[in-house]
Amino acid sequence: MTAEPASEGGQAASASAAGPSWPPGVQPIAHTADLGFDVEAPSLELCFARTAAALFRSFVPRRQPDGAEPATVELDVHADRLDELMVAWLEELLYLSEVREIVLTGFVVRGVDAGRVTGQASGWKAGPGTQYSGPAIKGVTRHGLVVERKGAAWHARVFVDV
Amino acid sequence: MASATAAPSDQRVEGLIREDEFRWVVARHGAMRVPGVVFASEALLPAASGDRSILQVINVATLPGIVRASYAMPDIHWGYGFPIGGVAATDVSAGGVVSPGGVGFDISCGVRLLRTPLQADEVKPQLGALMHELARTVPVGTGGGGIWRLDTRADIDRVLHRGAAAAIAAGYGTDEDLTHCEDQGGLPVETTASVSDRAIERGLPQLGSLGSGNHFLEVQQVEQVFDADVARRFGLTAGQVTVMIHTGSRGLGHQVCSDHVRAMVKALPGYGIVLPDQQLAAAPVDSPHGHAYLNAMAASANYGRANRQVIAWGVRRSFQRVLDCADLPLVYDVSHNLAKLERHTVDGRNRMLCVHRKGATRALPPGHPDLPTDYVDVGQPVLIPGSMGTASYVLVGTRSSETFYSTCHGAGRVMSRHQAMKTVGGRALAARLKNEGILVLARAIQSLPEETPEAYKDIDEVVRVCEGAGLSRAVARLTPLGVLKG
Repeated sequence: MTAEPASEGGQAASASAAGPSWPPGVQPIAHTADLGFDVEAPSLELCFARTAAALFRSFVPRRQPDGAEPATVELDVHADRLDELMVAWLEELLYLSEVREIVLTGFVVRGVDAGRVTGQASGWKAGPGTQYSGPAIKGVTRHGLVVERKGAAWHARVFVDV
Repeated sequence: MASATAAPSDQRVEGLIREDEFRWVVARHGAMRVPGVVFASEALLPAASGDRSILQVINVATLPGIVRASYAMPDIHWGYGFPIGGVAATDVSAGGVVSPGGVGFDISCGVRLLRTPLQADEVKPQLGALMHELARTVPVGTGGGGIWRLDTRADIDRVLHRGAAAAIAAGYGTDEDLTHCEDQGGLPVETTASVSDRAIERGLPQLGSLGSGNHFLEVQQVEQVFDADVARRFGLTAGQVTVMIHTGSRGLGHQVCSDHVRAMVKALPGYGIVLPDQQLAAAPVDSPHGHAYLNAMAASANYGRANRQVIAWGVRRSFQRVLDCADLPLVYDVSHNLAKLERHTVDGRNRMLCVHRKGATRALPPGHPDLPTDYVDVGQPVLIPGSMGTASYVLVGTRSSETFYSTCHGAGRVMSRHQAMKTVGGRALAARLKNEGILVLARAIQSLPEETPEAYKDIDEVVRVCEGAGLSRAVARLTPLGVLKG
């Protein structure tokens, strides 16, 4: 566990006409059908937070509407292996954002340890008029999945189905 | 902004040998149990930098129990685990596996085609009003609910067991629709116990909604008829207006895939299965994991069929309101993401196979007992959606059985979404299409370029190769008048 939680995002995603601007340390991978990210971060916690931020930045609205109701979700996710933990973390976020109808933009990871990730995601309640900036993510794949230490940093590669 | 990087090149593959004009083979080597066969012209071979679809054909060839070959249809492109356009059959009695990745997250994603008695000239003056009425009636895009919101597990269980018939029983169509649905609109489901509470929770509010991505609802005209006799049997004539619906099983199907891939990844060592890509995670068809997945998959497929049935009701209502015409018979409804237990003859022996079609369409030949009676002497309609702004096709199945009666499912992407977004702005693309006579309504206009026609292969070439390879035959070419996008 780290003493300080690692966070990424926390405000509405910015974007250019050619798509979203990615969080620091995130490099999109050109995939003909779907979407992939290479993510680097100085800590494993930040690597998890940045990967979540990249995934949601691909489709969340570009601007938080005035008067939108803030919302947060708590996360406590378990898996046997580190790569499976990354998939489970992202799947949990997709599930919660859909069923609780929350646009998630901020991700805080308190700790990644012993097959468990804990954290919080924040954003605002979606409504009937919410304008998403891209197609929703259908699922998190294990194709080419990597979560590894790379020198002093952590690296994740994740492909998601659009 | 970060620029997209090509995928690592260490997994790119050589060794594709051309056998004839439309057939390429990767000889069996390494852990492959069968060869790889790709149906393509030179122009259709995966060309994008970093595209790993041929490697994915090879990876699929390692699945336990696979027979004949790992096939790729002419619209092949890079997927996850399986290539998009992949067909693989495993022999159930020989330990053959089922792989949720060979179906995909959007279980029973497919296409439904309705025909109208109207000519394009009759619809065009009202096209704007019609498209806006469709947009009001059929929910599209990320989030939000569907036309038919369910309240309880008992409600949704009826849909999971009965598919389109459950929607019809609730008033969303007539029994006549079922005769023109693959499997009469529903696969048999023994139990829905392997459909998780999370999947149910996601499915309850979404029935009768289009979703996002490449899903669409399109008002089209029959631009060209290639086989007048077969087209007439399908009720299609030149100039006629049709409606194509492309969507699947929404969040319920996505959750079922996620749940069962996770379970199978854990179970792989217990079954002694070693795979080159974890997204190919699989279990023997005849195993607890196999049974659990196939039941949940069939239930999801039934949800997908009911989803398209309810959307068709919304289409009919919109036509009634704007054009005073609710007579929109169903031409056909067919999935292109599914694994089905089918009997085929392989090496002279009739076997029960688990046929995975991941971005591929079943294409039954004339005379097949599973065809609707009015199509039995011509073959199954195969519905091939094009990209927004280009043509779609109606094909028909042939007697060519090599691919277990399978053919392509669409145009196939050549450009990443990231690349596509750089080519044009959303409003500019919509304006360009309007100039071409195509009215596009999109919930997320800024991401419209992800689906720009330039991001896809030439569908005319895909169909030419399907015909050349004997996989299916062209019946009619449909061009869009109005497109509703998520």
